[in-house]
Amino acid sequence: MAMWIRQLEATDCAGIASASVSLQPGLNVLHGPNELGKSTLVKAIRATLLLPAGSTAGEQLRAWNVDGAPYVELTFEQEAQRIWRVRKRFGGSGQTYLELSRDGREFSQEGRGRGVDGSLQDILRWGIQPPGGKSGKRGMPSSFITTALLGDQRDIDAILEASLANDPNASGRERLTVALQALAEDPRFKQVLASVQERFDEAYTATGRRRSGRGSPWTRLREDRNDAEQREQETRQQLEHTASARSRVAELQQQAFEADAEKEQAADALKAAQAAERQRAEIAAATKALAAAQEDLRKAQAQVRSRDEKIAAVVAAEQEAETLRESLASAEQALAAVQPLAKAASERVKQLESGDAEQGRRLREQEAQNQHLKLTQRKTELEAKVAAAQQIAECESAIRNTQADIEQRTEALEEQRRLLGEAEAATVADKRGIEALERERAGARYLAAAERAQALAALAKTAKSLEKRAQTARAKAQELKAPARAELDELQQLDADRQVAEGKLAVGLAIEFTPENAGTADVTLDGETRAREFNASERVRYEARRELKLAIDGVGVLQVWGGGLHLRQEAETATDRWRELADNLFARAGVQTTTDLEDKRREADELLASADKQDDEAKQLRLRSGNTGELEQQMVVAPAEANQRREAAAKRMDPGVSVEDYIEEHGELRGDEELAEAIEALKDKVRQRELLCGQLRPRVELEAGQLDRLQEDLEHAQQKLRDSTAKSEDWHRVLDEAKAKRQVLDEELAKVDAEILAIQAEATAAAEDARQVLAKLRQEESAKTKARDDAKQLVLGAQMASERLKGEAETMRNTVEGLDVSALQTARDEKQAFLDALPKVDGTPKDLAELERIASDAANNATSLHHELSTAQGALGQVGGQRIEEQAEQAKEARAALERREHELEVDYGGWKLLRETLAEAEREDASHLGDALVKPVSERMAALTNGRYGAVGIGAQLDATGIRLGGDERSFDDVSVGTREQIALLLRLAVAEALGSFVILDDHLTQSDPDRMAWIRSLLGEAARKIQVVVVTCHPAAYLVGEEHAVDLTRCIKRHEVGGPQTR
Amino acid sequence: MALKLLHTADWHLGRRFPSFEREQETRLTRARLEVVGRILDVAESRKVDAVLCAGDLFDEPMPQQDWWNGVLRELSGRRWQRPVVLLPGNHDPLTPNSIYHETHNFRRGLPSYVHVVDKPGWELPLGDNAVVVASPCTSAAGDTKLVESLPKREAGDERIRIGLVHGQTFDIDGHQTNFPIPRGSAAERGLDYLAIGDTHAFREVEPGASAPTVYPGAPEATNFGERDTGNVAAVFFPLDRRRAPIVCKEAVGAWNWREETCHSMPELRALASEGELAKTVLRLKLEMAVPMAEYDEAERLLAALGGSLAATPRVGVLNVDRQGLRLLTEDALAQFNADMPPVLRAAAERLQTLAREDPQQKEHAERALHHLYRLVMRDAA
Repeated sequence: MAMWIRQLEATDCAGIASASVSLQPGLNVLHGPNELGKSTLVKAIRATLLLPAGSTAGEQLRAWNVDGAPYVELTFEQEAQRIWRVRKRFGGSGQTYLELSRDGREFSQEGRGRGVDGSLQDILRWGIQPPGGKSGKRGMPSSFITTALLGDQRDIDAILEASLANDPNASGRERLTVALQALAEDPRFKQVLASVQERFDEAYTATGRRRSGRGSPWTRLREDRNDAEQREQETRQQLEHTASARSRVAELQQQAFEADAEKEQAADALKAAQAAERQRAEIAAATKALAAAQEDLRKAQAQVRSRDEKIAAVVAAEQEAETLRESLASAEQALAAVQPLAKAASERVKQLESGDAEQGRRLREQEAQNQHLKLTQRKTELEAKVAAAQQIAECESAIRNTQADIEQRTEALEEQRRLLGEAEAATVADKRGIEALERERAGARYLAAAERAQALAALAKTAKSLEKRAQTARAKAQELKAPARAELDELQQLDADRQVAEGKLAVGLAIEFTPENAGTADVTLDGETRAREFNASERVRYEARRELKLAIDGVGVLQVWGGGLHLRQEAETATDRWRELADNLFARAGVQTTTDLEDKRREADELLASADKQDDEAKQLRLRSGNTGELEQQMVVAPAEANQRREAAAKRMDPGVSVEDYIEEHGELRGDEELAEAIEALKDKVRQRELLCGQLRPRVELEAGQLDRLQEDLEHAQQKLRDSTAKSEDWHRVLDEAKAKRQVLDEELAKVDAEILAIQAEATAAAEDARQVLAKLRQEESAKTKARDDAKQLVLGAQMASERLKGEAETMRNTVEGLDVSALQTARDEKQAFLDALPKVDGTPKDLAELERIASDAANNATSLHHELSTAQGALGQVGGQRIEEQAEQAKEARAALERREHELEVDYGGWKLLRETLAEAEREDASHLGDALVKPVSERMAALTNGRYGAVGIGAQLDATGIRLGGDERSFDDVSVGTREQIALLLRLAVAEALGSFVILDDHLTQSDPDRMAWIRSLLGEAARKIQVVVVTCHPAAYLVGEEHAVDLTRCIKRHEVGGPQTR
Repeated sequence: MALKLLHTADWHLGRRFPSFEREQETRLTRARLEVVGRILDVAESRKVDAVLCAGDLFDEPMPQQDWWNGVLRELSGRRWQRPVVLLPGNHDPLTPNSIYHETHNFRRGLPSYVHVVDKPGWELPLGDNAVVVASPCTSAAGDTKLVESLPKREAGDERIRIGLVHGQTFDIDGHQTNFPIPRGSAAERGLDYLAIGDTHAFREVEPGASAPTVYPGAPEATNFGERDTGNVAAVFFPLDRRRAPIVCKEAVGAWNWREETCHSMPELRALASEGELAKTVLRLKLEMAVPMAEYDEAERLLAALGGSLAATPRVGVLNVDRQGLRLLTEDALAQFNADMPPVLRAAAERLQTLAREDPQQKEHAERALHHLYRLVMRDAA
């Protein structure tokens, strides 16, 4: 339905005290006598729609005898369910309200004050400039459309001369253009346009912007695209994390690989240096062992040589003794040959010397001979003593030799024992060192495990604490029972709906009540009730915004709601919906207001955000432990491992020392690998020493056995010496005095022999001869005896020398018997071969400590990198994987698919939009001459009215009526009668109203029309009123009232001011 | 037969297909659960002794309840005693939060004959003559050779030994290989059959090997371009142990993923006239420039393939890329009705000019022309 006026209320307008007129769609005939205020009502309508309330032009509405400001309420329906109510109180600063309703009962305020007029012109688009501009004309604003729809019919010229060219702004032209184009449109074009518009409306707003509501095709696509972009961003981030983690792993793998190479290189260098050192030590040890073996061999060979020399000397001595014994035998034979001759000669002498002198001489000779025998006996005893002494001397010499040998051997044995002892002691010390290192290692491993357990526990504690805090925050958030964001949004939306709905009810109500009798009533204004008393015939008025209720005692209850039942129901529904949700949320959250709910939601959001953050932090912590899910497991395993290691460490501790005491006492413990290497190094040393000890021990035992045997020989020889010494004199003195004694004895013997010879010389000649013979024989016998004694002495000496040499040889043999020269040679050769077989070590000795430090650093670096690598691999296992890559690919594809869909949608709806624009442009071009659209309806009606007398009405491009064709000629309007002009003006006004789909108000017109034309016009109005509202204000109702129209007797609607002086209210 | 097995993998339940429209995505996602029932049907009809599921049964470690409930429903509906072995893969690794964890309702709800591989070197005897050895993935990625954690055949162990792991058998430079499976692993670990999962195509890794290593592939494809999907492996171990196991490919998939490009209307017509397309996922690309009438026909054929509010789609899931479909505008006007109102003709002329002369508006103008054509022709009809 076209725009129509539903209701008009007026108070204090000119002579009208109050008026209330209800209109209907179609033809409305408002009739009443002159001076009732009909024109005032039309003015009130014009002023309400066109004039700002504060305009001085509003003064024309003011009643000269009333103080109250003119007040008008005009309700009109723009289109279905779009009903506007304009309330204006004119004068002074004026009051203006604009309200909107869907049902005509319940209104919501859309604006108030000066802005309302602008809004109103936007609604009407009649070509009126909104107030506020400096160029606006004073007085009642007018335009082509206002003249057509609201113009004074009596001012025919104004109507016929009205032109769009004079409009204050272009809105009227634009509206008419659209309207007249529609009028001129081809039905097929209209259908196409309607279809295009329908598709356009699906996607765009009237201003061409993309729709954003739920039904919009862009919305879902945008949501999908947002989702896809978010998903892509998330997966891209995950991929970046994965790539970063993977890159980190690759980097760490490379670093670990390089570190391993460095570690191996350093370890190899260290091992090579250690091996070289060991080789050097081995070579040194082997060289030393070879030297010792060579010395042993040399000594043994010397002893063997010495024994052989002794044996050769014994043989030589025995040969010499044998020779001497042979000489002795010869000497004894020679003596034995001489002694009978000497005895015979002696017998002869005795015979010859049987005289006294001879006897005396013989006695003396006998005495000399006796003395000679004594001396010889003494010399023999002396020689025996010397021989015994020499034997003792030789024994002593042998003992000394043996002792020297024993000393030498003891010294060598002691050296070897010392070496063995030192090696064994060093081995024991190293073993203790190994134990200490093992202890330290156990302690260090325990410490590392304990620290790891502690670290894990700390991590877990922190993570748990964070998770607990997050849980607490979530619980708190839960306890807040805050509404979900969607619920809150819905509540706010419902609240807004409710307020809007309630606002629509606040249309402003006013009643006037004039009781016939005095009485009381309960007056309720917008829910506030007061008891009031009334005097008879006293008129009272009440105003309320939404609801007004009068409970009049004895009369009944009058209740008025603003905005009508539909709006009220809408407001109640909105309130119920809001209340239902609000009660639920308020009750749940234990609050009273939406603000409190929002606060709760905000608080809950903050708590949840905090919980998320804490969860994230906890997750990060868990990630740092290597594996998100295994922290608890590791926490169980790590203390158990620490415990195990502690027990293992405790077993290695000294009695009474706890692991913790040990760790405290030793401060910082070295790393496991460092200790392991130190332990291995020590074990190597121990093994080398044990090898050396294994070689030394049998040699020491062999040497000790030989030494024991020498000792036994020595003791035996010493015993023999002691026995010999006990039996003889001091052999040293004997030997020392032997020579002198021997000389004395020899001298005494020589004297005795000389004395014997002298005595023998005293014999007779015969005797003498005999004696001479005897003497010769005696001399010869003595020489022979001496030769024999000398030979005997020599034999004895030779025998003694031989015995001594034999003793020495025996001793040497005994010594040499214990020696295995061949074995020593073999040993020496083995040592030499061992030494020769040892690889030669080139270069100079390296700084082992520095190499060890480098190797240790490299090992630590490699271990650290492997640990990092393991952690990074663990992290990669959590964030990475094919799934993320697939999801990223999916997200990318999804975004691309959505872009295609969006492009397709954009092209499709863009096509509709372009088609709509193109159709509009084509249409505008097709219908640029607005007047053409009006010519036909006006001309046809004019021809019908005048039975074809008048032809086409000339209407310009600005809709200005230019003339009328009469009898084939174009006539100016000035050339036709007033009645005809009035009728042309009416037809124009109807045509414009029909084109616009608007009401038209015809005030006291057609006064110049004859009854026939009036009848035709009445029929025309009825026809037009089927499409538009036609409001006829007349004092001649008979001309219009045929029973189909809505007739309003204004005398029942208008109350005029009492005439009789100024009135105040 | 000494033993019969059904070997499947890569169900990817709960997988999303975000590049499709929501309804299509739902259809494809559901299809992944529907095939599970068919897999179990094959196991039943073949009377296999055990069902081995070699990982990636779910697309993520913590899928939505719908998916694992669906699997529980399928498994619980069978009155079986034959063992079903579920192996966590790299998409659904065994983690403390995963559905395979013993505290998860999925694991707790599994029937007694369903076993979850939950530790390295896991073993399940199949009677006295066979044993399954398996190791699960415990992370989404890694270079651990899971197959090396399977115990080797011990001296005197004459049983049929089946290995079950998830991982990749290829090793390409620059490609991140997850859970690599070296060639020859089956023989090296003393296995008679190595059941693996990950690759979506059915593939016998070392054809002719006495101990086959087999990917059964995904029972339903997950994307265009995947070949040889939609199968499970039925494995038969002959009584004569000297003979290698027989591996048969059994089709279970219902959906066919196709990519087509039409360069002419005859090609499009031929495609549109094809018979059964209800279980086809079709990515259709149009690369042709056609006059107005054919353009309109193409739109109608696409509408028929893709369905509408009033018509069931002929293609199960249709994804059309029509950016290559262009309108030949030269004689577009000639194809409109001659008695078209002048204002409409004027509009058509304007659009034709735009399509011809304004490259920026060409696409929109072509589409607008077609819209106008359809409206005019509809009205004419």
